[in-house]
Amino acid sequence: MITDQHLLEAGDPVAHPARVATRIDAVSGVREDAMFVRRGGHDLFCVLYRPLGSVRRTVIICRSFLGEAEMLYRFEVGAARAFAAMGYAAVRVHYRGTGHSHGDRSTATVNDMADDVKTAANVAAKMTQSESLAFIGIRAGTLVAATAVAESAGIPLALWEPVADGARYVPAFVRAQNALVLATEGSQRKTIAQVRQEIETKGCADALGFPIHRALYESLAACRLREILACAARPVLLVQVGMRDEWKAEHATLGNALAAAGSRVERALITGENPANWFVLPDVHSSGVLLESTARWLEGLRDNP
Amino acid sequence: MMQTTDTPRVGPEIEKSHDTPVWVQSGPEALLGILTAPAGPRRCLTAVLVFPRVEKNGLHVALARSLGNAGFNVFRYDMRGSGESTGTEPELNFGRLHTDDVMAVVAELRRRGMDRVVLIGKCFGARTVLAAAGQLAGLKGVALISTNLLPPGMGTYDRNYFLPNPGMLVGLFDGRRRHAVLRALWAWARSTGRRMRWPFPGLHPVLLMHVRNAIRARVPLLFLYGTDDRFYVKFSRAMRGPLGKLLERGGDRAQVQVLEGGVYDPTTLAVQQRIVACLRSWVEHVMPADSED
Repeated sequence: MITDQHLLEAGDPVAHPARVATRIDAVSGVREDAMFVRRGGHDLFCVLYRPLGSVRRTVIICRSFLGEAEMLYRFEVGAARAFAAMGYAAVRVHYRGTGHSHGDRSTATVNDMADDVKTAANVAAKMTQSESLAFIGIRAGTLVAATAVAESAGIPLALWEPVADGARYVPAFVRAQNALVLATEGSQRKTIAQVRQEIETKGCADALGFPIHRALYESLAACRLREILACAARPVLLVQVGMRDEWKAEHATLGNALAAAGSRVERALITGENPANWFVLPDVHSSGVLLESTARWLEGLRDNP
Repeated sequence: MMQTTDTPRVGPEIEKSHDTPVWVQSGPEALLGILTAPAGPRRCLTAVLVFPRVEKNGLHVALARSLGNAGFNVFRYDMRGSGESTGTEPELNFGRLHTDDVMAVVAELRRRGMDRVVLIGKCFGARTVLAAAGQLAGLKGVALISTNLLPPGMGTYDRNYFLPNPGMLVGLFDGRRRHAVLRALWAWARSTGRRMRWPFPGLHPVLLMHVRNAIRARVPLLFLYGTDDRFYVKFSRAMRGPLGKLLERGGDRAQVQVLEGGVYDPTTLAVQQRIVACLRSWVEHVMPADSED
């Protein structure tokens, strides 16, 4: 069943869904509200997935950046639908100036994106009337999720193959894009040094078809997960996806640091997939295991609130 | 090759367009689309964007907003099995063109009063809109971006690379499976027959038929390629054969645009801007003279 619903005023002066389209999946019993949420001067695109019955918890999924967000798009949608089928509400948002969302991405920082996520969380909490939240970040989206919950102790956070140090994200992205171009066209297009120089001189670099603005680049470079999450304890799920059956040093250090700061850290190690492929390929082979381990963790949160 | 209409330019009074999400039911699948409506004076023409996946750097969103700012309504939707729409990823293959989805989208737009429609498709989406064009009356134009002219099973309703497995023949003795096995064998025989009737590389006959139908129906056509596109070589070769003659017969209504760089995979922001500008200019050209509100 599909209905169109226009909520003109939701009584929230800060953010409200301006235009909503709703569908209800008769088979899975999941309701999907695709909407533009008006906040400040721009509209954010969000999709809220929820069961028709009561909601166990609202999960906010924070996407990654640049080409990786495009490659993981379908995976995110599938994850949100799976959570809704399990009885959780899930909400996804396109950060300002990206995807379907309006806004100026040339000035958007990680903090701004965290604000967008909080806006989506508020709207979702109102629509589902469920105030218990959990945040999930994918790759660089973990930095956004962590920033969004940094000052709120106790809000559970799942980190899917986190980028522990934001300064390493753009170089890794540019390397992956170059590798793809090298494989298909036989030549490298742009080095990370050239990208850095372009950002410094022009304020924005063209990284093989993706704009990297100074605001994002510099705010990412200043983000470190263990520092962001050090000030408040919470339940944390740390998932590593990789080829080897051992923890990467950055993730092992992150897990230990969070545990030392008082967080209840659960770890899940998924092997057999190289997450570097997510920069350029749309398939996530380990999605089933990833969702299963996260669902177990969410279930555990109910037992240990 | 195209007749230039005296299109009044839309001035800077047009403010930002605004987007509305819309679900469209097509058979068992629900397709999510975004309807972009201009905030200022409107032109009575709606562009439907059919892109197979979330585009690099949101190129389809940039195109929708550019057309929206020029006064056109634009509807971009996620093809089944991609983006926000339902369906599974394997449905995005050349062996099955979901023209029914295009029909459902156009029907929904017409129900909302948007009768004058141009279709813009890329790659798999381009093949889909070209196939759908023959089934839609009153189309105002079809733009095909980086169309692959020679994928296996293209234009047919058979699965790609299907080969009968000797083991499956056992299914003929199983009452529950017999019907499915016979259907699969028939599909294989049909696709093999089509390949055998078409011994020359260059252009699939079904595609040629779709182009011919569009030209007969006097629908303006645009083929857009980039010099770096892998499909462009095949297209150039096909233009020296029957496709070239056919487009010549289309006269002013058939247009070919080739941009420097890659259009299939635009690896610079400058190419992306050129693609948007080229398509916007084409839409303004195909717009009927009486389309101003």
